[in-house]
Amino acid sequence: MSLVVEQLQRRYAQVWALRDVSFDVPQGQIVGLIGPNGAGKTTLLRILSTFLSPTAGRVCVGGFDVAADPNHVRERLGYLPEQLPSDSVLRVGEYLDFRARLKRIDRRRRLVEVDRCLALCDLKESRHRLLNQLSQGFRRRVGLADALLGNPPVLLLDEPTIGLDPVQVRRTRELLAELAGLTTVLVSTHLLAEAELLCERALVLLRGQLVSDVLISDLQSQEEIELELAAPADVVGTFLRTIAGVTSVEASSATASTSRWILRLTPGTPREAIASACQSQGFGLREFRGRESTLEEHLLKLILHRSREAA
Amino acid sequence: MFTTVTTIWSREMRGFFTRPGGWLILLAATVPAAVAAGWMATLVARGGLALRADEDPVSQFLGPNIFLMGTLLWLAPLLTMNAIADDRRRGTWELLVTSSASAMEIVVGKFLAAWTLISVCLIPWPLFLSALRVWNGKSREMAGWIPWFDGPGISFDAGLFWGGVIGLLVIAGTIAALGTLTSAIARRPLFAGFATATVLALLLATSLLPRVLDQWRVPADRYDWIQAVAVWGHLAEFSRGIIPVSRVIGHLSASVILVWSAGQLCRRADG
Repeated sequence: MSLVVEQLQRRYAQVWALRDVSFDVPQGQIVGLIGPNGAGKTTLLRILSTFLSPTAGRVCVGGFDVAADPNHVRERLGYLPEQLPSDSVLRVGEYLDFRARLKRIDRRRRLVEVDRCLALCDLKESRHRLLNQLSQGFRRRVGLADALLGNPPVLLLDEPTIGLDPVQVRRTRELLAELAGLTTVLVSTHLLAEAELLCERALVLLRGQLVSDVLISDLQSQEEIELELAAPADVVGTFLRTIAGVTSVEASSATASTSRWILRLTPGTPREAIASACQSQGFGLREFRGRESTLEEHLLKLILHRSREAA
Repeated sequence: MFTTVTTIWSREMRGFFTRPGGWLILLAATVPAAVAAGWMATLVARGGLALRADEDPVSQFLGPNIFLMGTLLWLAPLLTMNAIADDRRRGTWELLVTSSASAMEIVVGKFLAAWTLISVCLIPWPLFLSALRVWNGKSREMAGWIPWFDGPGISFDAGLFWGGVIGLLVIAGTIAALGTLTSAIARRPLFAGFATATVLALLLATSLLPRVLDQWRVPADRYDWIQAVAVWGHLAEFSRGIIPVSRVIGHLSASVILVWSAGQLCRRADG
């Protein structure tokens, strides 16, 4: 396993930022780390990058423990933190050279590596520009180029596409997709559609706890239909649950005479059967459509579920 | 270790010398040296004093004179306050310590840069003193209107010169280490600078304390310990051409302890 996190806990004074977080990531997988603000995403990345130490639990990167062997961990990491790179005297090329020196890339390889990363992040033309005079998007790209220096086996990226223009967002996605299979990438993002496009798997953090670990392909293969019936909710709800192949029924909205539902089906259930069953009961079918479950809905459901639990 | 330290050091040096602010600091540090040199040249010209170890106050040029102490009081906080606190303020510290470099290597690099910069800003002092080798403070008019040196330069004890230079270097190291530590403790550069200036002022006050106690006729053996921390008093010893090995070791040890503490603090503060 490339990343192993076991029973990780982190506390800031009296506040638990992470509680009992456990997961592992095999080499070459691209994993999205999602969750609302304050969920603990940045704290988790900071612990994995060795910047913070865990209060309890074990975290290994490339087989090395972050607490016991931070130097070996850092040698295997490329890290793009939330904070943009900043330097008032160095130009882009010089900055990357400085970073390559700190990463102990030997002199002969350094020039080649800097050139490679400049090209990967479309920064060749900005090589001689002062870092602090660049826009936020450019500086984000410089940060990404820095993370890619030395071709590290593990990449930790905190919001890598925030502030980038659409062309660069696409280019960054393509770049990360090219790394799939070779480099382990953990991407923290608020852009759920991006996580769906980019990642094979999503880890959902809520209030410092890992509440879901789901493969994006599993999420997308879940068969769901959304229907609106010309009948009140209290009459329809019980009936829908009795239809063969329906695994869950969720009321979406309702008026006095109509109700809207989301049904989750077991794979292979014919949709016509659902429509005919409703019509056989005399419920007028106002709308009927198949839908894919999205990461956004998944996250919102989890948030709703948690707030109900808390209430 | 060496590569990381030199990388950080060269980055800091470049940061100083490529900013106009760096050159302004250097200029501002030269002015008091020039004023002190002018004062000394006048004194030498009037009194015909020879620069020898036992002749105070001229021998104090590289010692605890008001211009040199005043310079160190503002120079050291200004050059060290940004060392670590500014990286923390800008959020770039996280990037530094998550590269392959350890917090200790980065702190050592920053300390060495601060030491070098303080020393560079003090270079005008020995340079002005060296000028007296060719000029005795008197001038004449050549061809009726061009001012020129009148008579030979002053020969003075090389021990004074080198003692003063070594003393300044050693004490600059301690002050740089102190500034690095306060920069590691403080979250804002301004607080770090203020803290360094306060500690330096306290050390100055401590150095004056033996004189006060002596006036009050307190036996010297009761305040011996004060001499150990009286940094300005140490500078006076060096500038008399004495290089006490125990003082050199003491200052180097203090520098190592302060820098090590700064490194440990950085590691713990992040963790």
